Amino acid sequence: MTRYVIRRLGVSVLLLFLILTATFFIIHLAPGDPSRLYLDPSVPPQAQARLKAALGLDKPLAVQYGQWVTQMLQGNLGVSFYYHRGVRSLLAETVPKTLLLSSAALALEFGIAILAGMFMATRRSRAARGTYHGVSLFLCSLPPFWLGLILILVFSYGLGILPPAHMSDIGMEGNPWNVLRHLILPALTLAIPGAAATSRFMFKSFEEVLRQPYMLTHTLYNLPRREILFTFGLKNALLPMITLFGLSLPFLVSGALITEVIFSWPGMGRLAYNAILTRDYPLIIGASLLSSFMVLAGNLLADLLYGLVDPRIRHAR
Amino acid sequence: MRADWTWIPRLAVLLPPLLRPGKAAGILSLCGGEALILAAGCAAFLLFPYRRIPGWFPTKGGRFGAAVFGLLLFGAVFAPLISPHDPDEQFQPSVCRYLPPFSKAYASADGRAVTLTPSPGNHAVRFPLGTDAFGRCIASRILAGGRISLSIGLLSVLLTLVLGLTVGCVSGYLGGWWDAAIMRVVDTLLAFPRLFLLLLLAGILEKSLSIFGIVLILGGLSWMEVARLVRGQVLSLKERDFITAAKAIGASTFRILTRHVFPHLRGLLLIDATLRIGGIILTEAALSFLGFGVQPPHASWGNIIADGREALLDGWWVSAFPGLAILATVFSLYLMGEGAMKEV
Amino acid sequence: MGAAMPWPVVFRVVPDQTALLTQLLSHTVDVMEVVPPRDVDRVKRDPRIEVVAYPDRQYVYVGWNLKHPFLKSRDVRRALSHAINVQEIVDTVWYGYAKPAVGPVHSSLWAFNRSLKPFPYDPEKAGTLLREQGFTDTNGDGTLEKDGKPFEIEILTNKGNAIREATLILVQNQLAKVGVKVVARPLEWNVFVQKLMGREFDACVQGMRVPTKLDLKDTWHTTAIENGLNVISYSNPKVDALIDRARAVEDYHEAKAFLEEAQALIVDDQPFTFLYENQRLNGLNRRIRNAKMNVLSTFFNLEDWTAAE
Repeated sequence: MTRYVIRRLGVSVLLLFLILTATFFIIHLAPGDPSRLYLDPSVPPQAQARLKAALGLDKPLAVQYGQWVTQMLQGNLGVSFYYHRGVRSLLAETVPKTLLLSSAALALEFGIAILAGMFMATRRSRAARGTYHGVSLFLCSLPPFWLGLILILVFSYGLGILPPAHMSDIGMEGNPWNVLRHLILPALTLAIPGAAATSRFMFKSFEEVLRQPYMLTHTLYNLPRREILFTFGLKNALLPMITLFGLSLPFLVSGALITEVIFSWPGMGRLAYNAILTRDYPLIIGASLLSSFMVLAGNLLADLLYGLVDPRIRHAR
Repeated sequence: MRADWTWIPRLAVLLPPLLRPGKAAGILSLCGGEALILAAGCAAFLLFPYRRIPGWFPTKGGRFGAAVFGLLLFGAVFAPLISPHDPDEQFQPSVCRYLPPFSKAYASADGRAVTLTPSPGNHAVRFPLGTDAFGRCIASRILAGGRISLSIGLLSVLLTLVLGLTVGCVSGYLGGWWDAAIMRVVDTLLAFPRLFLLLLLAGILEKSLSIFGIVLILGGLSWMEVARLVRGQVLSLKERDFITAAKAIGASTFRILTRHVFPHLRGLLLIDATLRIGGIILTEAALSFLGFGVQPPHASWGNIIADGREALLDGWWVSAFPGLAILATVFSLYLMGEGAMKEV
Repeated sequence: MGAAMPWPVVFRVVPDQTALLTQLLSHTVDVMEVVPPRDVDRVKRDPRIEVVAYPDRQYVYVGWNLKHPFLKSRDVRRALSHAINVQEIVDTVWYGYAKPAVGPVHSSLWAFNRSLKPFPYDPEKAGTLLREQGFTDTNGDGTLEKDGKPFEIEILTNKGNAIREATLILVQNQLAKVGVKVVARPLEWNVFVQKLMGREFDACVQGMRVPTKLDLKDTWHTTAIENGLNVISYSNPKVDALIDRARAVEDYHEAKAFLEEAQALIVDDQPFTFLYENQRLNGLNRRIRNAKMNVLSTFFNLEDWTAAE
């Protein structure tokens, strides 16, 4: 196990540097003057030459690379052109909000998927299972941004029972119930297509488990059906679910972007999107790097989780 | 012997040119790249020897999916013929904006003056799915958008398959050190967070992406998984007798790969491609929705939905119908893929 | 601001107009600056909300870069202006809450030349003028060419302003009807300004804000090409002379005469296609009393506002 962990950590660190390098090269290979990416456009042209020298933009590429990487690793992500504030503090404000949305969505997704998959796997009628297959595949094909708009149309503009935007109403920023109300639609938008896909896995997995001989044995012992299903069936069917959960961790960060834009949810995704529209390069680069790292961290966590769960890895030296 | 129902859609393709010969002549001058690609796709659909691939359309679901997808493809290729109006034509915007589905307007002969009530000398203009903010027919725009979205999807998946197949075959067949090295690179690329790479590119590039740019990016992001899949298959095929025999008679590597290995990969690739186009179409729609994909005035399903977003209260149909089109396309592709998977 | 506010005032930035509108209609917010014209009727239907309308401090125009080989010809510009149906744009985009602009000076200003009329919409005349200037469609693709070069221009505007972008799309369509191909490019504000200042554009859809002191020199004088805001490189010595003389005299009536003549000359040259002067539409919940919104600011007398419960 330890060797596995160390190896995974090593790979992650390597990937970190690769991402930094790739970002650096994309910035410098892009058409146009790369210094426009660092220089605030409101700086008058006469001062720009001085600023370029001060930022070291006239030094050879290798030196710039070294400087830039050190800066990034130290956490100095620069100052946003648009907000005139440090990129790091901007990101620090918005990341928790994204995490709130994604965690809620993930919880919803797996909750629904596990229950739905389990329930449908125990149905006897072929018609029910056939319908389930059709409906779940249908829900998988929903474009998430369109789903969001339709939900807004129906529940906010049509029925008027749920708010269409933001994290909370004016004056109610800290109120958890208000935030919860605002969380429902975006979390559903994120969760539904994912839940459809995940529940299909759960369904297959649970079906496999139901076929196992030990399930029959438990029935013969006259244990109550509910206990059989939950205690023995569920535990074993959950193994691939954990893998799936691990695979979904990176999406905590990247999956929410479009949803955040549609619902004006004040998270990192929306911040990055606005940064692109306003050509706020320090913010674009900062957000891109941060999310890459979070995806890396998510992958690492997932692999570690998998290592814990898979006995072959767990018991290796 | 099962009746071959596939001749129905194949023959239906001949109908539009017969019904509107004038417009059919016009289609010959539409040499946009997408028209060619879609025509190729349609030709494949028409001439492909389905019955020879074991397991194709074994399930009712698969057949239904194929029928729906065929219909959509057909609509996209023949868009100029079956489209009620020109997708860019704005019918007197101040009068025709945000007309609901099934509405009618009355246009004068020169198209200049349009009214909502019948008047002498005006011919009726129908909007089956309503109009958008500028009086453009949504149905026509969805058809035109379908052309672009579907051709991007098909081209991207083609690129993905070509890249993935090449890398996977080379890696799997050569084995040993090459295999390890290539797979390392592929795994690293897989670990890259894709959405933010896209964002970074979108943000830093001054000009917006052309259609081929979009295809390159979408294809470039998905080929890695195909490579892994192919490599796995090639590794197991490598040990089979017929490969050993071919090697024994001195066949070149290239010949072995193309004539002996590839036929076994075909089925798998087709299924993977079918399932993958769905995802690519969704990604392209999302990109266009955000404003980084296909740019207006070119219609793409994603950017029509974006147009409709600001007027959700006044014209929900602008956003609703393109979404249904995407839904139908992706759903039918998934059904086809799932159906084929049942045999394999 | 003097005395303390009677209650906390919260300013909220909502990027989604429809969401903001819903909040206004559900009485979650009290003031909405810039109600989209298409939604004014819907807002008016709510007795508890009033729509405050007053003329905005700008007019919107299409600015042609006179350095462009095709656009430097006065007749070509006049043809393009004939091809643009301003009334249609006003009706489609502003639902009547705007009026056609006729010249470089806003109609609310003292020096406005009242005898100016809106430039006539005449697509046939546009076609004739273009043909006379040597433009024909030689290859039948719908776009005019001259000396082998197609008449294709790129019009910029600033992104994020839905009405301006819609205006651009309408202009694009109208020009396409006379054979001019327009590539519409909404750009982010910073980039847009950069391109304008750097004179790197073919044309732009822009708003001209009404200054508190009227001075045509900055925009229309030849000297302003290098050192001012004359980004389209407009140069007419007669206009220069009139502007200078208007600036030199003390008497308001004399100055007005010079400026009126200058306006007439500029309109004749059509360096801009003047589009519209729009109204400003704000939504105000009637529970807010004493709010006097005007051209200077929505929150002009914020300190005097009171709220009934």
